[in-house]
Amino acid sequence: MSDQQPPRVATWLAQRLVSGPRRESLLGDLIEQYRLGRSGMWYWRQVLAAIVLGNAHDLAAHKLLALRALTVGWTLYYLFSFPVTWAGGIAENWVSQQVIVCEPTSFSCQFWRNQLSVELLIYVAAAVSGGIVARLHHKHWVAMLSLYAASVLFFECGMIAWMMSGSPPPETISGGELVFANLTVLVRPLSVFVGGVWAVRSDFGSVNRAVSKPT
Amino acid sequence: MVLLALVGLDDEAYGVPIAKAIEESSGREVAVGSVYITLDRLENKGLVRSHVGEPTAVRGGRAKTYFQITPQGLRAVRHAQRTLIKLWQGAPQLKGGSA
Repeated sequence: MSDQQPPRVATWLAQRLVSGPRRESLLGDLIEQYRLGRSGMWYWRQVLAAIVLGNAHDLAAHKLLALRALTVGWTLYYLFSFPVTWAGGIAENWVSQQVIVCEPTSFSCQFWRNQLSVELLIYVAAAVSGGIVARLHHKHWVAMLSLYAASVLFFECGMIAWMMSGSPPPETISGGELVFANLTVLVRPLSVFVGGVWAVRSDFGSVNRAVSKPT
Repeated sequence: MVLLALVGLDDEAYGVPIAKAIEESSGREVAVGSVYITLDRLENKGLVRSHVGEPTAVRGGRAKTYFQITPQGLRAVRHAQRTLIKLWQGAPQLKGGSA
């Protein structure tokens, strides 16, 4: 039997994201099997499957809670849009005068001014909404937060598709810039998730046990 | 499948041996996580019971959770067997020949 440590990142993820009361037993099984000769790839597959299956099971078993998580998340997302729009206008003014002074017709000029003002505030608001959703659904926070983040991603992708179908992008934007700008759509759901993880980070102490070596 | 694997493993049944037993019968890799989800559901229905063993160093200081089939679970297995046999006998395409 080997005393090798299983992949650390996978173990770290499993300790935090696997749902259900049997997490420690499951993780013990995987570590035991790894030390009996299973590959790192097998270990990773098992951890990812446990995260996905466990949280999908949580969602299926708690449909009303899932609906509540979506309602809370989207209500906050909507309510935050008012102060964000107001503060974003002020911030954008300041950024364009003090931080990014450039030709306003250039795409990258407009893009970065927007990212450093309005979008930055949206990311913060998304993170706060994710944090509240995670806190309110403490027992199943990974499943509920993932659902909310996925719905934000779905919505933002839909908005981009709708905007692009309505009017073609200006000719001043290169293909690369357009792809990059569209990729930033991932940042909002990512902010939701990061905010959620941040909000429940204090609970991680209880699962922060090191994987000890066999004697 | 999980219940049948439990019957075969007696007192030594925990996540990995159960997954292995199913893997050997089906020839496909089984996610240990999915075995635990099924076991949880079966326990809620009273078909299996569990107890936690001692933590061991080889498992990173984590204990095994052992599972046992209950009399109610055993009845459920027998019932499923009878149902399958009846369905099998009612399918003429499956009698006598090779597919």
